[in-house]
This record gives sequence, structure tokens and C-alpha cells, in this order.
Amino acid sequence: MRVWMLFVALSIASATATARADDLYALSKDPKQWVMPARDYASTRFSPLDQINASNVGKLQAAWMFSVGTQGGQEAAPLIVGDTLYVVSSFPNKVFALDATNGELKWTYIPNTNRAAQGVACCDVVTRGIAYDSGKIFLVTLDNHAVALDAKTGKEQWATQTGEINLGETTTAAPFVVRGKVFVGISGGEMGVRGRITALDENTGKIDYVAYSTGPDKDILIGPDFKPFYDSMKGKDLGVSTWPPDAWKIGGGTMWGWFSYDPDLDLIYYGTSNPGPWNSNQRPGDNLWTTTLFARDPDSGAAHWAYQFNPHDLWDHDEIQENVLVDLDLDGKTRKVLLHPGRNGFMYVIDRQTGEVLSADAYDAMTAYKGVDLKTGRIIPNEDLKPDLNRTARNVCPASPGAKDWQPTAWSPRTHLLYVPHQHLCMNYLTSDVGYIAGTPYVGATVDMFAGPGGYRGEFMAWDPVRRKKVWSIKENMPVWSGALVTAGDVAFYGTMDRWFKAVDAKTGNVLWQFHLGSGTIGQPVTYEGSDGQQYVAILTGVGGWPGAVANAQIDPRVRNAALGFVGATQDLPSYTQGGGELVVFSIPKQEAAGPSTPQHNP
Amino acid sequence: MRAAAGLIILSVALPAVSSHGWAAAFPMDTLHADGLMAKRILPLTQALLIVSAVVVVIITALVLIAILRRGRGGGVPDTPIEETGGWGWISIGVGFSTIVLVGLVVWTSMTMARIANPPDKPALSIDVRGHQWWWEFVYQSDDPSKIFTTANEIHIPVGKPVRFTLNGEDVIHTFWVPSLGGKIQLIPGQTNITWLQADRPGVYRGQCSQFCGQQHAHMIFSVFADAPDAFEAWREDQLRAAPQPVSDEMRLGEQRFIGHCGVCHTVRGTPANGHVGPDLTHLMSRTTIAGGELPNNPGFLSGWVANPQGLKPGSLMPDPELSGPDLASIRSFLVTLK
Amino acid sequence: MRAVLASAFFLGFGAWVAHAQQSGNPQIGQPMQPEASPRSETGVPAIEATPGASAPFSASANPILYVPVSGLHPGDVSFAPKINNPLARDPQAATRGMQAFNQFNCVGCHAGNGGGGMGPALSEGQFIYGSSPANLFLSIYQGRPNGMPAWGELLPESTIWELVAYVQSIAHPPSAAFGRTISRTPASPAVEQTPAEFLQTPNPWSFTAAFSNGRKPVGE
Repeated sequence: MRVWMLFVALSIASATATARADDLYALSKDPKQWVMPARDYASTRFSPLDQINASNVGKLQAAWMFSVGTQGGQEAAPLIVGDTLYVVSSFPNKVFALDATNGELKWTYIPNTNRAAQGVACCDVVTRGIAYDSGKIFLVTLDNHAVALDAKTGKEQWATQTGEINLGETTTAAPFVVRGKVFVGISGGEMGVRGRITALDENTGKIDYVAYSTGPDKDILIGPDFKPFYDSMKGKDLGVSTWPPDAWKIGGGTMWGWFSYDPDLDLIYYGTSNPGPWNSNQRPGDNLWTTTLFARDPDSGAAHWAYQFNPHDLWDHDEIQENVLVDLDLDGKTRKVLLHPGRNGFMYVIDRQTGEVLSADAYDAMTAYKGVDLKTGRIIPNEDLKPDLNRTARNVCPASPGAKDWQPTAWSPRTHLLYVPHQHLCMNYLTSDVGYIAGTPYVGATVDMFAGPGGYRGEFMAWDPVRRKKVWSIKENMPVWSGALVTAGDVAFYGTMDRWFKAVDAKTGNVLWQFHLGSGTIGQPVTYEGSDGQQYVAILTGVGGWPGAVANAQIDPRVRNAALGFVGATQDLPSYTQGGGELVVFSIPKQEAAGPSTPQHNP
Repeated sequence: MRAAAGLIILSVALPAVSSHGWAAAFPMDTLHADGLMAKRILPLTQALLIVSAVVVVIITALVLIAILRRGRGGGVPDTPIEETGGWGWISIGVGFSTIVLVGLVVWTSMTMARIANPPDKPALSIDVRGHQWWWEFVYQSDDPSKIFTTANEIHIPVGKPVRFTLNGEDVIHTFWVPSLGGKIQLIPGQTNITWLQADRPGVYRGQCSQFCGQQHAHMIFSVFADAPDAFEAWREDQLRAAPQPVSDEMRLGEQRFIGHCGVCHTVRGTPANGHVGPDLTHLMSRTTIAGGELPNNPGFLSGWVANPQGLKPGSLMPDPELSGPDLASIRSFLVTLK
Repeated sequence: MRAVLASAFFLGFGAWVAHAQQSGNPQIGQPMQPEASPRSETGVPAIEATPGASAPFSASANPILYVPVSGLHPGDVSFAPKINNPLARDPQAATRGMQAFNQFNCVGCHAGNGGGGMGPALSEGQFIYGSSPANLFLSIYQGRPNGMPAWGELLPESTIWELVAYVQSIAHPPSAAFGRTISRTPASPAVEQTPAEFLQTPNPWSFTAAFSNGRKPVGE
């Protein structure tokens, strides 16, 4: 009876939803707008606008600014829908609607976010963005409320709670909308949270389904459609049998990163976080389905395939990073693949229909792993580096934040290069026994990070996934924790934690322009066209996040193990910047655009 | 002398008589072997005992003779006695002692070699972690979903060797089950390995035998050797999580337990997952509590939870400062942990 | 005679060894063992929490409730009781507090040696809810609005006082002056602690090295 009702409901929903999906998909193709944080469902973060290009970007100037008025790190990507720019701040997650051209404030939404949530957020009180669909803005708050707002007026339509802070749960990932379903994640891999994604109906806010990352198959939504490529992922209830008894209930596998969607294959893609606790000695087994890439049907959540990057993860190498969907020419054939910059330091090219790993190449310094066996799909750990209980493992590269953390890459279909902002860190790592107390950290590791070989701590590089190598790179003093943007004008943008916003030549890596922001930036740059026909570039400043909390919060730079060990690597950050919270929008003033252009030197 | 003779007779003759009853009545008797390793050591122990006893007898006799013989000379006490034939006595004494000692060293080395490894591949591997003043046991398995933790009481299959890996968590302890095998230390920062095999079903007492602090004397554990079917049934039982509460009273008890006790103790099946004290998931399946010190019945259980410092002063379980109703509520939850 | 003297010597030696082991003397072939100190009582009467009961106003209520959190006293007078840590004279209290700090996951939010992270640093000696022992006790017992959990329902008071002793022992303000300066040249801060993966001690400020500016710790 229920199946029949479900069938009817689905038919109606898909009939109406198809129209909506076309709307959002069509909107994402409009060069003037930026309707989702990743710009499009394939997560390219590539803009077809070319008014700003390599020859004139040197003339870029600040057009207007807007302070969001909150202290924590600002990681969000602004959205531009029509002529309105929407941006969300760090805790308490205020949403602002501004005129995208002149910056006038249209409305503000202030959620009643529980301040106690600040005590269970592992890595600063950040949020990575909002979503838009069908005249509504979707927001997630730190204390696990998914909220829908009328995009024109800012009036709250519905608010649904999807997690509980007393279980250590917070929500920081940007929501994602496909065919009328709003997908939200959950954070807390350091808090013993049982990871999952939740799909809500965009009109009513009711929860459609929940897909867990650990536990029995019925909770993971693994059924007859599930066809993993590799043998080690075939079997019944692996989300239970690869853990000690009941350890999967507090096992992590959260989702605090990025979704992608392929409308042709009708699959959503996302990865899951580290297993909990960080002390791997307490959880023998492969710990499925943590650090796993899932391909799911968006309507039902049924898993189609999965690939686990780091079985029995030892070093907190989450795999929630963006999956960039591209079609590449490999071995003479065009293949539908996704590019996944692994936190473990490997750049993966994976067939997005089957889950087969086509290549996995190290893109940064690495001592923790020896390679990835493409026959079995399993990563090969370095057996000499093991975090045995009470014995410090030294010089582990990449460090826990990985070669690249959540900060998203951008793909240019013109240069066929992936633009990768990332860090370059190694660490010492000591495990210890830890008990689980709900709402408190469940880690069991003492970490101390430091600059990797060469002494620099960050890099912005261009990677060719077909030739599988780095094409050019810019070394930075601090980890490059901002997102990347690339345009049809062949300009790539990124920002640094020591307050620089830079525009570089997408082909050569020459720095063409840079601007000294008010605070370091860990935000995501976007570009759009205003109602005046000018192209604008927008970025949020406000340093913080896991690497930057030492500059915006009361953290002692003299204690290296603070902030889960990141202070060891960024202890001098307060001498470069404080926290902040400002949206800065750049453009080339009309008079300047008309005159002759002078290329900028490499400073 | 008579005592020594009596001991020899007892240790040799009585094992043949009612050894099961003996093990129960004298659980720490080192002259009684119910396990394969202990049986291999026992002849050496007995030989050392006999040799020592003989040596004591001979020396005592010589001393007594020397004391009593003094009066026989009579007459002039200051007359110097000529020492003749002394070197003969010394040579015989030293030579005989050397031969016996060398022989014992060889025999000891051979015994140590014989007990170093179990006769077959171990049927089971248990991690032992020594805490002040209780024993943590983690049953290992190649299948991670069959790994479980218990405390102070273990079951092993009869007639099969069991491997133990030993780690000290705070100070040095020593793992010793006299009826089954010899002593091995649990040293922080080092992993030692030993094995035991019980040849007869029964209960064998183990005790910490390295002074480890105030309550060293009350760090006791029990080894239950079961028939293979019984052992498998026990293991399946231990893998189960605690039952879900069925009444409001049970739910309240569980809540109070999680709050007051869960920060230190684990009960699988509830959110209580503390790692400071023993795992209590199957508390009621054990015959003792408090590191083997107290019998496991509701009376002692209440008394222990209410006032651990009174029953085991210095133990690392602090007085929980519970009210009467809280204590009763927690106790009624604990008795469901079968 | 020699035998008598020899046996007397051995008996005496044995007795001395036994006594030394009893008192934990580390020199007699035993590794250094933590003292099993007697549990201290706070001597402060606990308040029965019964649902619906009204708060007592009389002086027989727990005096620690009268310790203010704020530094503003209307009328510019203060009668705040001075409550010391009852474990102040116990040299092992900070060590036990360090164990509790790890066991109850304080280290997860406040980091090893109190550097901070999810929660604020304890190592700088700056406590926004008060730095007196009673204030530290109440912050742990009651929790605080911006994310400090309330531990009073779970931990016995003696454990909380041990944590207070540990927090006091790891706090070390960066500067003796009124404020502090952050710069690269001259280097300020100029020192960092020996990191916790090399050394676990309730007294971490006794082990410092030059500030590394994000590079490997000195001695790596």
C-alpha cells in the first residue's frame, strides 16, 4: 500500500520536479549569475564571462564592500541570482541580500542559532554557503537547522532541525538542491557523530530520507542497485562488519563538504569524512563507509556505487572534497570521469559511471602512503609509519588536513587544467586511548603540524589530469585555504591567509594583479555580471577556519598542539592578520576599461 | 624437617587425589598444576623444593652438630684444635653443590624453552591490559566485529592453548595463574607475550604478583576453563549489546547510569562509552566485582557503587556522591546487564 | 656468630626493602609509581537537588554559590567569599587533574597543555569567567553559554578540584606587562612549549624552546 502511494507521489514529484531541475540547471548556465556555490552541478567553478581577462585584470579595483558583522572565519561562497547577491556569515549564520551592482542592503535574516553550538564545532564556527532554488534561499545553521527563506523578501518559509548539538553534531556544509530536494550534511567526525546526509522537500521542509555512512545496509540505502567496482566493497552489511561491535554508531563518516550532480546519469556524488576516533587502534577493520565516495540516485538516495579512498584511515584523511565532473580524452576515448583531489595527497581520476579508479597520482609531498593499487583499488600505506598507541609517528606527510582540505578547486574547459589551492604540511602524530562522552570530542590523538619540505606552507597550482602532472605553481607562505575561480578570460583567482587576493594568468601562472584585503581570506571567489553590464568579482574576507582560528579566537600560539595541531603550522599568523568579516566586490571601472591596458608585473 | 617432609609428600601424593577440589580449596597453590605450562614447570619446582629442603636439612644438621659437639672435648677449652681434612669437606661441598646447581640451570633452561611456545597454534588471542587495580581483557579476532572487551573474568576453551599479549597501562603488574602457568610482567611501553592451556574444566584464580600500589593485594582475576560448546556460547553472549530498557524505571536508571557512570564505564548498547574503568556490558555474568575483591550480588554491588573508597581505599573510582534514589535507580539498571 | 650477623643483616635489609616498597620509594628496583593519595573530601555540604525545590537563601547553603562571575559590583563593595582549592596542598592533585583532563576529553576542546582550539586557551591564564579557584570550579561545574559543557552532574567535586589544580598549573600569561605585543621582529611571542607528543607533564611551562614560526619544533 505504501509502495503504491510512494510510486504515485514520486511520479507527480518527478513530473513537476523535472521542470524545476531544468530551471536550476538552466540558471547555472547563465554567465551573468552564480546560483550555486560550485557555479554548476559539475562543480567546475568556471565562469564563461570574459570581460575581465588576462590583459586587463591589472586594472581591477574595489567597487564596494559590505561587512557581515561576525567574528568567526568566513568560508561561504556568495550567490548571485538575478540582480541580487546573497551571502551568509559565520555563526550565527546571518543571511544578507544585497543589490549585486551597488551593494545596497535589501534584507537581513538573523536565525536564532543556539550559541552553545560553538562548543561542539571542531574547526571554527564557519559555514560554506547557501543554496537557491525556485525563488527560495536555503540556509543551514551551525546548530543543525535547515531553513528556507523567500528570496525576494527574506521571510522564513520553514525551518527543520536535522541534528542535535548534545550529540556533538553541527552543520557547516552548503546545502545542495536537485529536483526539489534539499540535501544537507552533518559535521562532527571529531565528536563521534554517526555521519549521514539528509534530503528535505524544498517546499515543506519535511525530511524525505536519510542516508547514513555507517551501519547496516538498510541505513546506508544499499540495495539491489548497488554495484561497487572493487571486491573489497562487495558484501552484506559491511558498514557493521568492518567495525568492532557497536563502534560504527560513533564512527564518523560525516558529510561536511561538497555535492555534485550529473543530470544525464542522474547521480549525485559526495564523499564522507574520517572515521572516529582518530586513534585507529580502537577501531580495527576497514571502517566502511568512512572516507568513501558515494554515487546515489537523488530521488530515493539508493546507492549505485561507492569507492573507499582510505580503508582504516590512520591520519584523519577525510574525503569530503569536491568531485569535479568532466569528460576527458583518455587513451583515445572520451570518458565520463570525475576529478577528486584526495586529502590523502593523491589526485584521482575516477569513472563516474562505475567507480573505477583510472589514475591516482601524488600531487604533494607524501610519506604516509606508497601508492594506490589500481587493480584492487586499495591505497598502499607506508608500513614504517604507524600510529601505534603511545608511540609518536614523526614526519607524516601529508598532515591531517591533507594535501588539500575542503577548499574547492576550479576547472577550465579552455585550458583543460584544474586549479588547486592547497597546503603543504607534515606532522607528528601520537595516538592515545579515548573514551566517548556524547557531545565531547572523540579524537585520541596529539598532533603537531609544521611546514613541509622546502619550508613553504601553501601552494596554488595548475594540474593537468590527462598528463597527470603539475603544470605551474605559486608557492605561498601560508596554507592557501580559499577556493579557486577561473574564467573564460583565462584568469584564475584565489586568496591567501595573509590578506592577498590574487589574479593569475590561467595558462602560465603569472600573477597579474593582487589586492591587500582587510583580513586573510578563506572564502570562495565568485564572478557575475551586474545590471550595469560590468563584470564583478566578489570574495569574503575574514580569516579563521581550522588553520586560522589562532588569529581570530583566544588560542595560544605558544602551544603547538592547539587547534588539533594546526597551531604548530600557523602559530605566526596573528602577526599577519586578525579575524574580520567583509564582502569585497571588485570590478574594472568603466572609464579604465575603455583605455589602453597595461599588464601587471609579477610582484 | 618434618614440615619439609610433609610438604614433599603432600605435593607429590595429593595431586593424584581430587585435584579439582584441591584447586578450588587452595587456588594459589603453586605445587598443583592444572594447565599444560604449569605441568611442564612443576617437576622443576618440586626438584628445587627438594634440593632446597635437603640443603636446609644438611646445613641445619651441620650447625647443630657444631653447636652440640663442642662439649665433648672436655678439659682445656683453649687447646687449639688441629684442622685436618678440612679441604676434603670443602671440595666435596663445593663440587657437589656445583654439579647440582649446574644441573638445575640446565634443567631450568630446558624448561623455559619448553614453555616458551604453545604446543599448537593458539585457538584464541586475548590482549591483557593491567590497570591499577583491575584487569582489562580484549578478545581478539580476525573479524573486527567479533572483538570485545571484558574485565576481571575470562573464559577459555579447555584443552586448547590461548595466547595473551600483555601491556601495563600505568605501572608494572604481573600476570599469574598459579595452577596454569608462570608469571609474566605487564610493562608500560612494552608488549610481552605468553600462553596458557587449561587441561581440566574449572575455575582458576589469577592474581597480580608485582607490587603495584595501595590495592595490589586486591587485583584478582578468574579464568574459567569451559568445554568448547560452553565457551562459544559464552563468547556469543559477550558479543551481544546490553538489552534496551523496557520500562520507564529502566530508562531512568539508564539515564542516571550514563550521567554518573558513563564518563568512565562502557556499556555497549547505550551511549556510555567511557574508557577509564572496566567495561560493564555483561557485569552480571561475572562472579566478582571490584577487581575480584567482592562477590557480585546486589548487596555488595550497591555498597561498592555507593562507597568504593570505603571498600577499596585508594582505588581510582571516586565516591560518586549519589543520593539514595539515584543509587537504587542505577543498581536496578546494573542488574539487567547479564 | 658470623651467621647470626649475616642473617640479622639480611633480615634487616629485607625489612627495609619491604618498607621502602610500601612507601613507594623509587630507588629499590621499582619504576617510579604515582602515589595513591587518599581521596580528599571537600568538606563542603552538597545540596540535594529535588525537582521543584526552591533555592535555599540561608547561609548554610554552599558558599561557593556566592562567588560572583562578573567583576562589576554595584555600590563598589564586595563581600565575595574567598574559597581556595581544598587540594591546594596536595602535590599530586595537578597530576591527577592532568589524567582527568585527558580521560574526560577536556583535551579534545582545550588541546594538550591547554592551548585551545574548539575551546579557548587555558595556557594564557586569561579566563573570561574568572580566574580564582572558585570561578574555575564553577565554570567546569555549571558550563558556560558559548560552548562549555556542564560537568557538575557527571563528575564528583573532588575530580573537579583536581582539574582546577591542573588548570592553575598550566596557566602562564604570555606577558607580565599590562598587555602583550605580537610581532615577527622582534619575535614576540619568543618561546613555545615542548610539544605534548614528546612530553606529558602537569608543568609544561618548564620546558620551552625558541618560537618556530610554523616550522618543525626545535629538536625534531
